[in-house]
Amino acid sequence: MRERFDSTHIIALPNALDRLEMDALDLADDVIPMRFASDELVLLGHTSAIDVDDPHAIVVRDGSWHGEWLSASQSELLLRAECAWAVPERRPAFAQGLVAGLPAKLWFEPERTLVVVTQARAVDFAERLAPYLGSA
Amino acid sequence: MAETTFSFAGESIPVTPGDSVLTALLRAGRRPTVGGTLCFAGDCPSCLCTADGVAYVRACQTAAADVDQVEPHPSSGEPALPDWDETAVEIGVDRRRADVVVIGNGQSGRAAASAARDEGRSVEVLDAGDGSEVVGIYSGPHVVARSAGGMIEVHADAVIVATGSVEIQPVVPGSELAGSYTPRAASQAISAGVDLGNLVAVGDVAPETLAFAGIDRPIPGDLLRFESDDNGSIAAVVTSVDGSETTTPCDNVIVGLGRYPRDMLARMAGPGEATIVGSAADPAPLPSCPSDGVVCPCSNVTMQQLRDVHARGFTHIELLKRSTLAGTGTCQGGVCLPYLRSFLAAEGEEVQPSFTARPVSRQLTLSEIAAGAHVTTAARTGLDGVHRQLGARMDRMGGWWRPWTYGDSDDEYRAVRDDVSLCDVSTLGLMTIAGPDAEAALQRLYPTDVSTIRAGRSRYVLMLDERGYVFDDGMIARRDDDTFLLTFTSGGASMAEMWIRDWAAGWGHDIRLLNQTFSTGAINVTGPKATELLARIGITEPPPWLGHGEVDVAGVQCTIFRLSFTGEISYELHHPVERSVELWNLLMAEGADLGCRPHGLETLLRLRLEKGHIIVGQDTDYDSTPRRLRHEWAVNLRSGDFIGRHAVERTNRIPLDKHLVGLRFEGPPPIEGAVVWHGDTYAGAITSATWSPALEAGIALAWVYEIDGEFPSEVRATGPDGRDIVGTVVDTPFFDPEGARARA
Repeated sequence: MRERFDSTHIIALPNALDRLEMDALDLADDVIPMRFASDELVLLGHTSAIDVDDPHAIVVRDGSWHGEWLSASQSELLLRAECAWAVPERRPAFAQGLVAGLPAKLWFEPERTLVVVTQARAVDFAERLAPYLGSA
Repeated sequence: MAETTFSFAGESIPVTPGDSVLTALLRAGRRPTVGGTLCFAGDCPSCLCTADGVAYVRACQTAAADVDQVEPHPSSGEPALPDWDETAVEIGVDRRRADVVVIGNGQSGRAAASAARDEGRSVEVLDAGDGSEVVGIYSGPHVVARSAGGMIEVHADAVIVATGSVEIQPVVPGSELAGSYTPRAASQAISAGVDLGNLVAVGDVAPETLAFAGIDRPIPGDLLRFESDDNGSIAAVVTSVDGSETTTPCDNVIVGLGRYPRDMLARMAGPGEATIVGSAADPAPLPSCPSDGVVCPCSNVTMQQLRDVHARGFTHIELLKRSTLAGTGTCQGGVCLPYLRSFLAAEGEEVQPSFTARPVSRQLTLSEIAAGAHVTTAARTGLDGVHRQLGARMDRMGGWWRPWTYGDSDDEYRAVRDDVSLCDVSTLGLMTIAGPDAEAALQRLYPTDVSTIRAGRSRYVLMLDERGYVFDDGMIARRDDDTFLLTFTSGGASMAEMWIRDWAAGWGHDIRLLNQTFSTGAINVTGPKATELLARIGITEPPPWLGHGEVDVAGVQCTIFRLSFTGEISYELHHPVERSVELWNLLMAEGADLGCRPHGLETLLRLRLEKGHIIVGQDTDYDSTPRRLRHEWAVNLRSGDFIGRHAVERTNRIPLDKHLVGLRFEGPPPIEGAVVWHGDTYAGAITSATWSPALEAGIALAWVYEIDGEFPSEVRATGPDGRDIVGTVVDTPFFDPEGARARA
């Protein structure tokens, strides 16, 4: 995987994360909000201190994500062969599930897709991704 | 004029354009299998062959031009396994999405596809005749097909099954002989130029088929049996009219018995997931119940066997199938299914629907089955590359790649006992739990009084299930009033996370839980010189025994724990995983003159066994209570209503039947898993064993059973050289029982 991402990993009340996710979507150009679960949000990219409206929220820096931006054609090739579940059609969109047999997070933009895995899977995912990186 | 040939059992078979393997063989006077009625539609098992090394291929569905070598299907037993083919090409999966999948491109299939398109829906049509043979419908629904280009998997909102009907095959004495054809098969054989010799017809055969075959009319009466010549082929058809038998000599016979819906794929789909159209949706008829003969040629089940199992109470079609295996073979009921229903009806049972069908409907090659599948990987720590660079022998354990040894495990052992050593323990599960109810949740999740763990302190804990059995262990470390760090076994974190979330949600506890196993690395710095090494990297005031805290090491923020799995002074430095290499290199450099070198799992397992520490999953069994593990000290029955409490109290009241003990051998120990005996009585099994350099003895943990009212103090096992060795039950820890070295 060519890129390692800094991120802010947040566990908080769902309502607090709803508001934070909307703010991230509206305000940040290069920060990608990835909502893993109702109580779990990862803001992928560099962020300043995050103010979460939950006094018990767990907010940690998390630099363990590795990813690769794919062109639309690369993404289509990859997902057609290696993704057994239906990906969302709207853009932008976040999705997660097994891709090439490994747990992955996907961020879909109109012209490109970011595929992200945790550091523990990065070497193996990169090997499985390589055949699909040829077609730009 | 034949354009090409293929080899069949060493004989060259001419092929004309458009031939299937079956038509080419029949024209040459050969058959791929011993006998049985041919259908030419892929519905029966009567034309199986091995084509280019692939067994269970239907000769009627395989283009002759595509094969080089064909072998007959064996008359009994299974085809030989193919040789390993290292040049085999990996088969891929083409995954598609469509609003509607139509299976079958016949008249009704085309109509259904057209109607769906008219509604603006995207349509995918799959048809074996067009090269896409559907082999299964799975929940979703999604449809899987095989094609020359690989497997096709279509996710759809709706599936329409338009697969038409099968021709019912005869089941009479002699129906396993060669020489009978369904009407469709006969027409296709004649069209292909197959000489059927003296051809007769019996049953309901359409006039145009009779005319095409040059037959004036079918033999009158009901089909009773086929008579055989000396070569296993049909020599005559015996029919009955008003109780009077007529024998008609022939070379081949067309048998017309009507049609049955080909609805197997629809039966695979979940409720409401598939719509059947066309003749596949026709009511299933009940043919006459045969009196004798092989009803299921795939599993060689006779009518007599059906009667036998029915008499034993197998009166439902699903039971009939399971008890005889009728319908479970190659054709999946293509031949026998109509007769199983008519048999049950004739026996007075309620008319039953067709039995269930499950994917796959066709024999697939291993490559096709493996299409799109990947080998399950083990996770890699942030130091994986470092270990490999150091030449470590890597092995998988607990779902992770781990260094087993860096080359000399004795030296690694000495590094820990005499100097200082590093071990990558990033595989440990790690979570943060916070919130107003965090303490209350932990109080119920663990059999310990969490309220007595002060901030900055930690405690070893067991995790019990509702039955009081141990399924994980680790540490609880309190950060502040409502924040705790939890550690788990390598590979145990995912299960533990679900466990905690489920229980906390059920209790209505207000907690936050973050699983940091994959985002955090951990290095254990251990050995008599560990404290000195820490001082060199700026940790001059490390936490006390079972304490923890936050430290900054050259810009790397670490959580440091003081505990010990090795029996020596140990500090675990938990840190952001992307900084692992940096931290490791710093420790190795600063510790070089202290004799610092890394140790692998082999050494770690030896060290921990000298201390008698258990490994959950290796030393525990599915029914390991704390008492059986002799870990009652880790359970505080005064701490409230924790999970498993009632089971622990109940099992504590019944006599102990087995327990985990330490064994000492005056020599190399038995292998792990070895059975232990007391006299000639089975006494248990070894769970962990190693040679202890510190004790210069073999040591082991073993489950030992109570025998004749007492637990043995000595057991016997087979040693590594095959001779009996005696192990003495001893207290654990084996080494430094007071823990003086670890707490120094």
